[in-house]
This record gives sequence, structure tokens and C-alpha cells, in this order.
Amino acid sequence: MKKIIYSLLIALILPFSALAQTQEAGDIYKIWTNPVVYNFDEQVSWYFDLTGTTFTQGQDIYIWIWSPTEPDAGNWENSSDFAKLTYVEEMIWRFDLTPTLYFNQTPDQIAASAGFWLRLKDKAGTLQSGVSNVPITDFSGFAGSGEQFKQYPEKFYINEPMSILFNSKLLENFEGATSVHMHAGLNNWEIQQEYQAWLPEIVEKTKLVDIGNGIYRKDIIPAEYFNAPEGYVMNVINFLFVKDDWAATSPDYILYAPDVPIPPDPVLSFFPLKVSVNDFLIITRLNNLPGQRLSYSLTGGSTNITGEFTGNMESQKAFINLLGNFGSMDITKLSVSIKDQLNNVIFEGDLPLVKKD
Amino acid sequence: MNKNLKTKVLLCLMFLLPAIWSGCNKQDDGEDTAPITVYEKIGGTWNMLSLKMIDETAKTAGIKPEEMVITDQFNFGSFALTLNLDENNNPTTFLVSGNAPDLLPIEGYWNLDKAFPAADGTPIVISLYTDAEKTVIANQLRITSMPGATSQMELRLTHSSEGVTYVTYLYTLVTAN
Repeated sequence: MKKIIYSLLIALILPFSALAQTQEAGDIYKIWTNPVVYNFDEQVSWYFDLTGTTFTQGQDIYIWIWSPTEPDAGNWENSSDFAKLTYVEEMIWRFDLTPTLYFNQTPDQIAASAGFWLRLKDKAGTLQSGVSNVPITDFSGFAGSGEQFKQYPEKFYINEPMSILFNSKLLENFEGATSVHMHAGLNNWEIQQEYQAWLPEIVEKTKLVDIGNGIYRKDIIPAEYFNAPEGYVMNVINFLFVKDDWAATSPDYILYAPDVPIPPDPVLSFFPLKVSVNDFLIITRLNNLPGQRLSYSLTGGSTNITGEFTGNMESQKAFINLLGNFGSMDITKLSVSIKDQLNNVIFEGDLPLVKKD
Repeated sequence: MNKNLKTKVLLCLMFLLPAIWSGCNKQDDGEDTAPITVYEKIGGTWNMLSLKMIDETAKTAGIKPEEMVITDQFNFGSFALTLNLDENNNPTTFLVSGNAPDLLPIEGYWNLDKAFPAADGTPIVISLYTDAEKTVIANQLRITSMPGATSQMELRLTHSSEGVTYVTYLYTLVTAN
């Protein structure tokens, strides 16, 4: 806190003492970063939305930053080129930097500083924004959290950058990965960005950034990454991580967009609890995913039968005639496999059979 | 008609009602007419109204669901059971029609373990035989609801394993006649 107050004081006193005629352009409307989370020795883009200020569209704008250090010190009236922002669109400017290089500091020094305190200005220092700071999203707790993945920010939106961190150390089969890729879809795979390992540009697009210590990061703006049509409503992001050329995969993960209620967990049940080849078997699955369609395959002895479940998202049932298909067989179990339309395995295992008296 | 009189008439009618009802029932007046047997009541053709599977294991353990209706599955809607009687109302053959799976044999012979309801309410059992001599029992069905005021009959077929019932098929049938 002390550091922040100190930084604010410098910010308020310095420019005015030097330059009485500098005009106020107004406060920066919004600041964000891409990636959302990053190590200080990685390249990052800081975005500044100057909507509502007196800066004009496309104008040359420079950063004047004094914390953690002041790279362009002494050049208020003639900002250096290295401090120049890039105009993006619609009153949004971008500043690309690698913090350790730009500030000539170690990551630890930056972490221990008061943060990134700045104004934006024109080259000659006649127009300046209010004092602001670039928020730093702390993700240091992730590695030890036991979570396999986590998204930043907590609330993510289809048109805004987000970072997904993945802790490969929690999955034994990811050891020794040379690269990690994301296989993903929106709204239960309605729109997909598959990991097509045979297409070099897709390999690159789906690749995660190795940020050390077994932690990988995927930075996306969902609408762009999935090429979603305008106005698309994102309810969930489905994804899994893949080692090398599908050498191993993580479990299926799902992220629910803010304000989308998290549905109850699916429940699979077999009816009746004890069943023989002289009966009927009813398999029920509650709380399915939107659009999910289940099918089953039952094998007993040398006989295999398959069929579809009927019902809806809330409840799907398969009514299976064991009597007609296996009634004459002397078997003690059935091998059951249940999959959805995308071949995701819902259940695979043996169903023991009782012997009817 | 004033209100008081109206009420009195209604009350009188209400007291008379039980008498009217009882008048509809046949009474055993001790004459030489033979009493109606269960054979007479259940002889004929019965169509499927509903078929329910009851999970006896789940029921005992208090686990839901305890039962599932399968009337609309496996063509059970087409199921019909005909219990034939001879001219003396003695049981002869039975016939299962429709194209549902064969939970029961499709034809054979039948009888009951008793021709009249037991005083203690023990259900009457229909035995289905494969042979005319009625020595080989294929299945047994308990009658848990007799046709009477309604033309419905409830039959229970149980499946057991090592002597313990694990599932009951509850047939609710309605007379086709």
C-alpha cells in the first residue's frame, strides 16, 4: 500500500512540476492484457481503451511509466519510439513488451514492485491521461492448488482474452511431453477447434505455451479461436489437453460461461439392480449434456446387440430385451459399453447376471 | 318445495343408498344354485392394460426407482391372455397372443390352486402347465386383484434367484369381453 501511495505521489507531482501547460485528456476507460496471465519474462500485449478521452482516433500515443522503473525518464517532452503504442481500432491502443527487458528488472524485482503505474500521453507531453495501472493477475497459487486447469479471468467472455492454465504434473502420462495441444469446442462441441496433428498450422494454433514447472498455458479469445459467428452465445467451453501427437490425453474438461447455471452431475443407473437373461434391462442416464445422444452395446458370450437411448437431455433410457437376445444362453455377465454421439465413453464395464430359479 | 323439505328428502335418499347398492349384489341365499367360482370370474380373454417391473431388491433396500412401466416397450401393448374353460367351467388350455417377448409360455394348460378366495386373503395362484396332465409347471401367477366391481385383474409373475425374489412383473389386464 505504501508503495502504491508513493507511486501515486510521484505521478501527481512530477508532470505538473515540469510541465504546467499539459492538458488532461481524461481517464483511461479500460485496460486489459493478452495473455491474461503471464510470467514477467514473457512478451505480453497491454491494451488501452481510451474511449471518452480527448485523444483522437489513431493518434500517436506513448506510454510514460515510472513503476517498476522509468525507462523513458527525462523525455517527457519528446517520448522515445520504444514507448510508442500501436493503434488497434475503435480508440483501442496496444503496447507490446517483455516486462523484464523493458524495465531491466528480474521477474522477482517486478513482482516485489508497486506494479505497473503509468500515464498515456502524446509525444510532446501536451496531453496526458489520468494515472492508471495495468492489473497483474496473480496465478502463483495455481501450481500448488491441485487443480488440473484453471481459467483467468474467473469470468470469461466470448470476445475477451482468457488464459487457461494446465498443470501437466498432475497427469502421469504427460511426463516428457515435447508439446501440449488443446482439442476444444464451444457449446458441447457445436463449434470445434480440433487438434489435427497432421496440419502444421493447426498444430501451431492449438499449441500451449510452456511457462515452466510443468505448467502450460493456452491464450484464446473464444470468438476468434473457434471462429464463432457474430452474436454466437457461448455457454460452455469443452476441451482436453493432448500430449505430442495424441500420445496421451487429459480428461474431458468443461468450463461454464458466467451466468450459465452449472448443471447437476450425470447419473447412470441400471434397473433392476439384479437381473437375469430372462428379464428386461433398463439403463437410465440423467442430466445429459445438451444435444448428447447415447447408444449402448451389450455383449454376452458370442452375441452382441446395440441400440440407441431415447429421451432428452434430462433423462435418457434404453429398454433392452435380454430375454429375447440372451434368454437361451448360460452366461454370468454382460459386457456393457455406453457412448455418446461423439464416441465419448460414458460407461464401460461388466454387468453381473443372476441365475433365475 | 321449501328448503327444509328438500333437505329431508335428500337425507332419506342418502339412507336408502346402501340398500339400493346391496340390492345389486348377488346374495348367497342357500338355494341349490352353485356359488360362482374364481374360474368363472377369470375365464376368457384378457388384454394388456399395463405391465410394470418392480425391482424387489431396490424396494427392500429403499433405493429409487423401485418400479418401471414397460407397457409401451417390447410390444407388450399387444399382449393378451386367454384362459379357456370347458362347458362345466373347468380350466382347459391357455393362450398368449401378441408379439411381445415370451415372459410366459405361449400356450399350454392351466388351473388354480383353489376355486374360491381364501378366507385369510392369500392370493389365488394360476399355474401354467406345458402338458395336458398338468404335471409340469411352466409358470405361476398370483392373482393380487380379482375382477369384481371393475373388469380388471392384476397378476404377478415373480423371478427369483436362489430362492429370493428379485423382480416382479405386475400385469394389469382388462377383460376383452
